[in-house]
Amino acid sequence: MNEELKQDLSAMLDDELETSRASKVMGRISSDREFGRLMHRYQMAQELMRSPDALIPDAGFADRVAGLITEEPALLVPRAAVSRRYRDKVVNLALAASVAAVAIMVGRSITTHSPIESGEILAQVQMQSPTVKASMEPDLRDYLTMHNESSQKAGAAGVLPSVRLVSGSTSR
Amino acid sequence: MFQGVPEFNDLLKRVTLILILFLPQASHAFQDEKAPQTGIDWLMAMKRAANTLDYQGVVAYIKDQQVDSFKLYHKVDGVHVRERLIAMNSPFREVIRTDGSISRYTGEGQQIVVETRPTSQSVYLSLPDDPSVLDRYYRINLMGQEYVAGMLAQVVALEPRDSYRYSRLLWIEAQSKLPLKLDVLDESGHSIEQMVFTTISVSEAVKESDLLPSHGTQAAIARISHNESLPLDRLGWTLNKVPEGFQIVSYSRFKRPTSDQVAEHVLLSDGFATISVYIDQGASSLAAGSRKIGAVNVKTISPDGYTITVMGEVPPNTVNLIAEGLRKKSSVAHP
Repeated sequence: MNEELKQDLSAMLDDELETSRASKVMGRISSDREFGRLMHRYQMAQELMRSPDALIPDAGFADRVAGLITEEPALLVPRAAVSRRYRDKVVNLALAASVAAVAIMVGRSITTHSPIESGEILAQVQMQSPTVKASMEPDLRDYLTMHNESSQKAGAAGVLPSVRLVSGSTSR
Repeated sequence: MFQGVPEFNDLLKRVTLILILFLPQASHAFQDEKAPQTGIDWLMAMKRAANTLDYQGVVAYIKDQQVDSFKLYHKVDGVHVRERLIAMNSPFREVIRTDGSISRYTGEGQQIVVETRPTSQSVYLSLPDDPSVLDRYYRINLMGQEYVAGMLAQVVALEPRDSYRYSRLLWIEAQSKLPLKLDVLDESGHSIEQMVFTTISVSEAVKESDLLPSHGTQAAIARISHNESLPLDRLGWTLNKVPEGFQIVSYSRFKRPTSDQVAEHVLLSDGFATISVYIDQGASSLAAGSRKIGAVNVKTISPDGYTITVMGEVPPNTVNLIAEGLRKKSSVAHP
């Protein structure tokens, strides 16, 4: 694995890599398992350095966590869109999920009697981690979500409509 | 019994010669006839391929200098189509499509929230049933071939016939006809939104486990967002300045999840681009003005105590024009 690629990976995790090169790094992550593991190690190191509650893990800790993370590839790479202000608070969700205390509350309803119901809690999982907060105004986020959903439903959203729907800055 | 008939032998030789000479060309011509010849042909072939093939891949979504990466799985089992789209970056996001519905899982605070909506549309490709309707408002041209993700692709350009829409470039894989890349271009030809596959495979089998949600449905808050469709004559506003080709597709009202306030929603479409008009009578966190999010332009105005927001994947002059043309009807009661 060449040094330039490692430097690009590190720069990407710091949000300092240009878009075209970041695409290449992500392509490599998806196709090269070893490179994916390297990214996990870099990311863990970053999170530990940033966390005010950082613990010094034993020698086997990183491997055990990496093993868990490898099984949950969806929760790995820090979002490039996240500002440093929020990014410093990010704790990897996969790590948190694997050590989370899970509480499920079934059947609790918050439904009102409005003809337009706001929602109903069927079950709930508590995770011991904060998550990234979207910076977009709440009304705008609601409107954009509704716009993307209805565009998709109307069959006029083009290619990968669901990507727009859940892309970083618009998902809620 | 025709052995002794010289005329027949001569005819047989001629027919054989014709077959030898022209059969390869005839076969080739048949293949050419099946291959897409025009931009519309390519779009139709793309829609057919995206709905009928099994595939999986990694796609990068780029807008506003930000990159997001997703893994996509698509499997067709007879008439049943299943899809799964999952973010490779934090925060957690996942979309699962089964027959007739799409469930969207998102990480919110310390919880996972799932929203399910009935729809028959794919998470991968959402085009009109007949893509040829796009020809009225876009010039659809073939632009040569390029390589994307190591595969040869036909470039199809959709160039608007007026200034109220954006151009789009599509890279369609020559063999499978799957879309590999989409580029949305602004008025100056600069890319403002891009989706590109970094890897895609039609040969690798999609496993059952690839299509299941990462977290069980039991382990998530189910959010039920109700959206009430309304007859168009209940709309208390007129849209006096709408660019040709955009038509009202739906009119509804919905409760905003973040504030529980009800807003009205009008959706317009020309078949490829969509524009939403939101009419909110209550207080809004949105100040009047213009915004831009990737390819989406937003215009917010505040007439007569209402907050009206127009947004869509169209140039700013289009949302501005529609916002300018909104007038409150005096005789229609507000729903």
